Amino acid sequence: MKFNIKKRNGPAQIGEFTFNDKKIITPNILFVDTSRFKAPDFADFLLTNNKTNGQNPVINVKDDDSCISKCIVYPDDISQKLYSSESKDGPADMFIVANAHQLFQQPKKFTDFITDLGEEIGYDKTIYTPTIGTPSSLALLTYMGIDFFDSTSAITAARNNTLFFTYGNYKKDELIEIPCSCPVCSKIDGKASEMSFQDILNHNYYALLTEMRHVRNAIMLGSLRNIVEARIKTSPNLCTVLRTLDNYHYDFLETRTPITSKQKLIATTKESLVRPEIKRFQQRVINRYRKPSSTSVLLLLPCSAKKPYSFSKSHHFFRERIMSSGNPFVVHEVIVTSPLGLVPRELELIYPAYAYDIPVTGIWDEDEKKMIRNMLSEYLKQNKYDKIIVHLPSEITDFVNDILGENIVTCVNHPTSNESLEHLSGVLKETVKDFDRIKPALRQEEDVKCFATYQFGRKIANKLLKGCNVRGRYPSLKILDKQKQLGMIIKDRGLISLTLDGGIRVIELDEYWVEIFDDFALKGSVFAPGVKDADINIRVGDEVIVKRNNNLCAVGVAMMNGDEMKSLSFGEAVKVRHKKNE
Amino acid sequence: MNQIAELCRDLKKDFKPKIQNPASPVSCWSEKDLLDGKVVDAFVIIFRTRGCSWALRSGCSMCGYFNDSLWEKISDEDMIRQFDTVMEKYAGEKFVKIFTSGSFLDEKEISSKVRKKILSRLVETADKVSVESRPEYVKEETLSEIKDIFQEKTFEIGIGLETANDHIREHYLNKGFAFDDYKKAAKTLKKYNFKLKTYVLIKPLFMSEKESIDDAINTVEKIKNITDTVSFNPTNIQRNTLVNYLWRRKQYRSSWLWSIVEILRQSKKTAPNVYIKCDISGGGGIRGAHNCKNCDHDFLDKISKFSLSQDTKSFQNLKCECHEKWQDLLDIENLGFGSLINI
Repeated sequence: MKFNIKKRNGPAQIGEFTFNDKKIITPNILFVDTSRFKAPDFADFLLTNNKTNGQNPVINVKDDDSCISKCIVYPDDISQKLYSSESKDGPADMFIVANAHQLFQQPKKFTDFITDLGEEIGYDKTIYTPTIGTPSSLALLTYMGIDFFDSTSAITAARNNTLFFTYGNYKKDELIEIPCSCPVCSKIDGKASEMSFQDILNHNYYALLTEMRHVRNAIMLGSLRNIVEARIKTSPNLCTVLRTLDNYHYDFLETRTPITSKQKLIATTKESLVRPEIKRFQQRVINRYRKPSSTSVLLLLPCSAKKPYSFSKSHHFFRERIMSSGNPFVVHEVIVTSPLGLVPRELELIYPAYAYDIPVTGIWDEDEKKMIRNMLSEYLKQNKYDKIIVHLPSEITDFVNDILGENIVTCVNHPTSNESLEHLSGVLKETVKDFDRIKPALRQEEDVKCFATYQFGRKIANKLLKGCNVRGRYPSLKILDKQKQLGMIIKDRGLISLTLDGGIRVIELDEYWVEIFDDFALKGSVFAPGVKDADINIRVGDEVIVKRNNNLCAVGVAMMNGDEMKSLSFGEAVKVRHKKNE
Repeated sequence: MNQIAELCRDLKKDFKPKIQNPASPVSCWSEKDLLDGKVVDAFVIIFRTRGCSWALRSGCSMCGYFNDSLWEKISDEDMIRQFDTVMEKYAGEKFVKIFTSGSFLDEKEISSKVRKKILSRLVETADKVSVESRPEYVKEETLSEIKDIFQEKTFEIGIGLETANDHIREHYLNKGFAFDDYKKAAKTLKKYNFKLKTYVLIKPLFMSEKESIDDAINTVEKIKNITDTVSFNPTNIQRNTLVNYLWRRKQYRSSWLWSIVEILRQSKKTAPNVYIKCDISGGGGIRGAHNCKNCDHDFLDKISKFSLSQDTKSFQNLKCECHEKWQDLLDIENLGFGSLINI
């Protein structure tokens, strides 16, 4: 038996077990198969009573004798003292949480336990939480890093005449129409109240299967969190788990959350405000990022539905007015938005700034106001301007004005109305003339440096941009050392991709590096067993430098985080883009 | 001391008895029971003693009878006062059952002087007296003293064997004696022609419903040639016990009445000549054996009828929707890794 990880999305993973010639993916559902309950044909794994050894449960692969090696873990309770004979260090591939149902009744304790367990067992093991997991909770539980569920909930629900749906469970008598077209429901000719136990059970099996597939698709796409936020709305308990996870286990989530994604970040819930991607963006803007040093005038702008912002009509108008102000490059545009807070113009291509979508109503709730105010005041502590121009609709201006200090408001009614734009133009012209004229080339270099600072931190950014020129048409900007290209902003990634020359330049800084073993011949990708050591700050999707004995070997994209690269004995660690000839 | 013993002891650490009057008995009442195959009135006495010596050391995982004990030495005078109090309510019933929440034959609870006085008084009117004791107090010298008092009248000793399985008794119950100790005590009391009643526990901690049914039936098979009576005790959840601790954490449920009926049926089949009964403390409530709310009353009624009639036909018409749930539980409980306690 072999286990591999195909894809990660936060703590969730798509794994692949290989048994003899059979491959089975996780997350997956173990279907009860006993004298009383026959597993459905689509089951991959069976959960059965061991016939030879009392009633001990056995987890089997369907049509195969293979078992997964397992280990039972007990929540910190009296039963642990009594039964902790099995060790967590064994070669088990599956960690089974005993009394999972009871633990799940205490959502905070449950969340703490599962995240602790995840940290302890590492990245290459799987977690099974018996009896919990219904169509409305599979997404969330998978997002926490749980890989196995079972069909017992389908049985107990069916016995209570309860049908599973992703939006919650319903008793058959509550269903005036059957809101489902699964193979069972579509055959029911009549009312749901006439459904038999077996009908309901089979419907529940299909409901579990369907949601499990949805979840796996979402992991592959990188959009699991969007489903999670939708599903938890059916249950306060699930909501508690997610909020606990976001608030108390940010590090656990953040280290496992990719740095980029091609998926839209749908920010439609209260929980979206504290998504790890959002929090990471906000923290980097405050802690890593600094404004382009030649700018002196801060211009606060509203966001646009179209991303990146500068490709939108409204921002096109704003930019026209800036460019015609007489000294446009002294102006630093910062977009005020929810849920990201503040997005400096140079970072608009970075995930999730280019990928989020929010409902636009002009109504700001107190959580959003508080977040924006906090971020703005932190930002202004770190970044000093001589003048502040506020071109924001009054709904925003009203709640940020007091923390801006002296400022000029240019938005009269709507930000893109002629009147407002004229006013903006006038104020800009009047303001920028007091400052030295900033050259476009200088500003462009600074903007790319800001971008690089966000991505790599200040050390690498300074070194990478030192004495360099920036060429190219936005957004495809190239960093050139004379004629030598060091790197380039790739719009689709929202990151700078390095060349080998770029790698050589920053190799000595000991950041975003992966070191491979002396005897590891680099062909194609870097695999985890070849990794000797790695920067633990590397996240999935990061641009990394591959070295051997402090000599550059390659540059590429991290496929797992730094910690995982160090500990795993299988899997692709770095997808190499450029390899040095040896 | 093993872990379960430590836990049972720790749970009693801060225990203070509610009633602290050494002269007041716990309770007494009259109820129906069988005597020589006939239903008669039986008088029940529960004495307050210093407490079960085993409970004072660590105690059994399911037993909360120590809650009624004083945990301090009670003088012979006070014990006699307790006896005088209950005798005011005694109406000359032919069958008397004595409980002490411990061992009647343990001299740390009831001195031999008091024991003699109580038994001598009762034997004047009663034809049968029944007491309880752990096997270690079933000693020749004690029994021969009692034999002198009882002569040809019936004296019965109840021993809480709970299960014939030593592993379960030691590791799940912390009972503190082995099957062999029970067999030895049985042999001793047979010598004096005393009757043996064996208590068998239904649903020990850490066991599934199915496992506990199998264990109870297996136990009857092992003791049917040793005991005169089997009295099944379904675990009820008593305060300050390990059972209570796990029940509060939803890691334990008392047995289903379906299981009890199944056990009684099978036991009667296995041991037709043994008197088989079952008193269900707290039956029908959440702390006692129960099915669903709808059928509990009917089941309890049929089970007590069986205890008097010994006829399994009592169970013939028991029906309820919850039968399927119970069957599900028997089938899948073990697949839940401790999660399918309440299905």
